[in-house]
Order: sequence, then structure tokens, then C-alpha cells
Amino acid sequence: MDRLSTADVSFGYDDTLVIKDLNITIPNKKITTIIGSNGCGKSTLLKAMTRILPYQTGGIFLDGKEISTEHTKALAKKMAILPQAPEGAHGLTVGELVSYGRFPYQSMLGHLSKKDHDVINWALEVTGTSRFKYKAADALSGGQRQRVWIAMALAQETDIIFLDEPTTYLDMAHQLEVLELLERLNKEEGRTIVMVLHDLNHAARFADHIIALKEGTIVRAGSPETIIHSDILKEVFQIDAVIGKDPLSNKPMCITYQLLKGGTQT
Amino acid sequence: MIHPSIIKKQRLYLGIMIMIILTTLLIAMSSGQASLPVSRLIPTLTGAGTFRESFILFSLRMPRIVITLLAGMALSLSGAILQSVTRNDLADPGIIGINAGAGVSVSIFFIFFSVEAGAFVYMIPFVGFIGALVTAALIYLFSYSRTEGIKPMHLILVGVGFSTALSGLMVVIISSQEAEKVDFIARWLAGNIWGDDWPFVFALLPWLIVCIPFTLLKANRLNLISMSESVAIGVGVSIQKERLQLIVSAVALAAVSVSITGGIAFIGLMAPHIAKRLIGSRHQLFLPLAILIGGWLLLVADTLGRSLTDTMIPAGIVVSLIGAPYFIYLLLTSD
Repeated sequence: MDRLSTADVSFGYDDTLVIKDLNITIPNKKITTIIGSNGCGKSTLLKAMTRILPYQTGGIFLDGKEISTEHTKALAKKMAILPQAPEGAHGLTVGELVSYGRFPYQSMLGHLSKKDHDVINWALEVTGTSRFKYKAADALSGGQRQRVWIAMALAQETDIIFLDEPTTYLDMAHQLEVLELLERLNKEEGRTIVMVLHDLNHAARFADHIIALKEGTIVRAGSPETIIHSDILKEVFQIDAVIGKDPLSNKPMCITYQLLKGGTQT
Repeated sequence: MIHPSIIKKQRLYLGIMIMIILTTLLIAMSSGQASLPVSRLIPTLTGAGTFRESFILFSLRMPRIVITLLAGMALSLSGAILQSVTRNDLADPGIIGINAGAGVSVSIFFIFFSVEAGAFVYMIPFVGFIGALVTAALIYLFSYSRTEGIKPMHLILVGVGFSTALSGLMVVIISSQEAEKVDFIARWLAGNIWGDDWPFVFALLPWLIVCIPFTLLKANRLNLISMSESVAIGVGVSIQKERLQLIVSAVALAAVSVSITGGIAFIGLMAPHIAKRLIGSRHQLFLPLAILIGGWLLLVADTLGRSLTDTMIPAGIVVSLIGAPYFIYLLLTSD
């Protein structure tokens, strides 16, 4: 059964609703990617699903319980979030930063147990950041730092991991490294991954399920084969896309595209 | 996970700071209008002093010194909390209006009750706290957005407005009063440590005994809250609840101090900043250091004020003389 879904949920900032009456379901143990143009509400949606932004009407449900009424620490054991371009690691070592992911399991005094240390070491291991454990997080390159933040989310030991544009600011190799890490976590450990991505071909290649958003409403949700389609991309991004097949992954891919010429095309 | 060398460094700084405070204490005890040479301190402390010496040390100097130390510590911790919660290095209970809120309520209290009344000494921190809490609630309310909660920058701006308005209100309040009370409030505004007797120490102490350990226990949460909202919520910090508790603690620390010492700003700005510069921004490490630095700074300011000239310069003025340039320096260097 799918664990996370929304029911007629609306939310936004101040008095402007960004998303209105949205109904989505996140497939369990799958990689879901949210795509859409700038300002369509992708990040806002991610924030609402992770209770960072409170919603106004409707509901968001995890395991049948509304997330707004559940204890935030209990939720932190079920879902982790990697915010867009996270910052604030000033002067912290990589190990410390990752240890913050153990917060939901800690007592008031915040002492790390043997189990905590094991999980932290494991998280550093899977993300390939063990050798930086005592290094300052600030001193790492963008790609390394992003993997450290992922390690922190992993240290939360949650079944569901949300990531807001985890590949931004990374070069091509590092982008792939991060995405392959997420794919491994999904395939080998059955974790549900929900992420916002800008790169359509990455979305097509790594996602099992794609949600295409436009101006706060769903254009279509489904497999990469149904979403990465010229008709849908036309509607979502206002582009004329040429779709082919990725020879490596056999997934659909956008080979090239041009802007729609104003009004002449339907 | 913190490198052991950093923990060692923090211990070292704490040790050095304690030594500096002890040295300053000796100087503070022997300086002032009535003479009490350093060479007579030890005999007087051990009970071998003359009646006059004991009186100067135990009834005049000591309570004032203890009050000054405690208030400086509380103001520093209060500033540190506010800076982390608002994620703004310029937050200080004096700058954002909490001190002024305490000041207004203490002023009103004095218009209706006598300045000297003995039992009321214990009421003063309460009165200051209530006034500051109401002020903080108003600042909170005015900087609150229904969907986004408290915006740190709003909080500062609204607070600065309140601070100015409340200081003005105090002037309005005193303008209709008799000379003695006018004098008191004017001295309060200047940050003249007026509550310099043992009862004031006992009126202040319980608040600190509760608030300081409470805040230190929250060091971990403060680390997360000062990082970023999303990260803190993501790992399960109940951000609104924690923020509220911490702000109340900061308000209490500042209000009870300034209700006894008068309006002293900038300690909460300088001390945490110096501590962070020395040891980094992990709360479990810098808070204890900031507390010591804050107590020391106010002690130095008061000692200077008492001994530089024949007429006493209020500690608040001395602090501002150092603090205002520091504030400008911070403004210029912060991004």
C-alpha cells in the first residue's frame, strides 16, 4: 500500500495559494520525481509534504495519519529531507553534521549511543564520505558536501527521503554520482525517494514515477514513458521537444527542443 | 565527533577567562571612592579587617560586584539565544526592545510604589519580566506571518522600533513625576547599577539558576535551529515550541537583569560574538564561554565607571562606549 498521499490539499505563502486542491500519491519503495517550470510549486510541494510549510486546507497523510497532527520527532524517524542548497554547517565537521541526523533518536542531553555511531559511520560509508569525517564541512567541494548532507538524511534511518534539487551546482559526474547513490538506496534498501529535478533526462532515467506540475496543478503523473512525451512537455514547459531513446538506459530522453513560437502552434 | 583539540581549546579558554575574572574581581574590590587597598583585601576577606573595611567590602562592593557579574552573564546568554533563534548576529535584548519593555514596567512600578520598599525587591524582577514578556509578545505578534511563522529579520526591525518607542514612553512617564523619581528613571535609562545590595542578588539568582541550565540543555537544539529552519524541522525539532521556550528564557534572563541594573545594551551582542570568534559556533562550546565573557565585560565596565572619575559613570554608558563601535564594526563586516 502507498504510504504517502495528499487529499485536496492547498497551501502557499501568506495569502497567495501556490497549490490548490492537490491530490497525489507517492508510490511506495519507488523513486518519484517532480518536474515543472520555475515557480510552478515543486519546491513548495516538497516543503508541504515534509511539514516545513503548513498547509491550509485538505490533508497530507502518511500511514493514514495526517502529518500536521503527528509529532514532528516521530515524523523525523519516517521521513528525511534534504533542502535545496542547505547551508549553516559553519565550522562543523562532517561527522558532526551527519550526527545531527540522529536527533530524533536522542534524549534531551544529546549523547550519541553506540547505535548512533554505527549508523553515522554507515551513512558516511555509503555516501563515500568516511575519509572526511573529521574535516570541516565548509572545506569540501560542492559534490562532496552534497553527499555529506545526504549522509545526514540517511542517518535519520527513514524509509522515505525527500530531496529538493539534489544535483544543483554539481558538475555532470557528481550529478550522476548523487543520483546513482539514490538509485542504489532505492533498489538495495527499498527506500522511497521523492525529489525535485530540473534535468528531464535525469528524471526519465532514474524515476519510476514522474509528477509534472504546472502553475500548482498536476498536468499528468505516471511512468517516464508517459510523461516524457512531446505533448506533455509542450504543456508543462512551453517547449517543442524531440523525444528519443536513451541508448544506455532504454528510457525516453529529450534529444533537443525549441521554444514554442508564440500562438502559432497548438 | 568534534575534534578533541577543539574541546581542549575550549577548556583552556574557560580556564583563562576564569583567571581573568578573578584578577578583575580583586581590582574591582579594591577600587572605588572609599579606599580599600589590595593589600587589605585578604585580611578583610578572612575576617581580620576593621569594621570599616568589612563594611566597604561586604556591604558595598561585594553585592554590587556579584550583581554585575550575574547580570552580565545573563545578558550575554540572552543575546546568544536571540541571535541563534533569529539567525541574526545583531540581535541583542537591548537593541530589540526587551530591555526597554522591562524598563517601562519597572518605571510604572516605581511611580506607584516606593523605591526603597524592602519586600518589593523580589517583585522587581517579576515586574521587569512581565513588562518584557508583554513587549516580546507584541514584537512577536507584529513580526508573525500566518503561514511562515516568525521571520527573523522582521523580528529585529520590529524590535528596534519597539525599543525606540518604549524609551520614548519612559521619558513621557517621567515627565509628569516628582524630581526623585525622575532622577531614578533617568539613572535607570543610563544603566546605572542601582540594585547594589544583597537582597537584589537573591532576587536575581533564582532566575539564573533556572534559565542558564535550561538553555545549556538546549545547546543541541540551538545548533540545529541556528542552522536552518528546514534542516531543524527535517530532523524533528518542534521549531515553534522550542523557539518560544528559548525566547521566553532569553526574555527572562535579560529582563530580570536590567530591572536591577538599568538599561544595559550591547553585552548580549559583544560577549557571544567574541566567544564565537574564539571557539566557533557550537552552542555547547561557546555558550559557557560567552557567559563568562559577558559577566567579565560588565564587571570591567562598572569598575571603570566607578573608578575613572569622581562622579560615577553608569556602567550602561561605559558598555555603550565600547559596544556602539563594536556594533558598527559588526554591521560593516556582516554579510
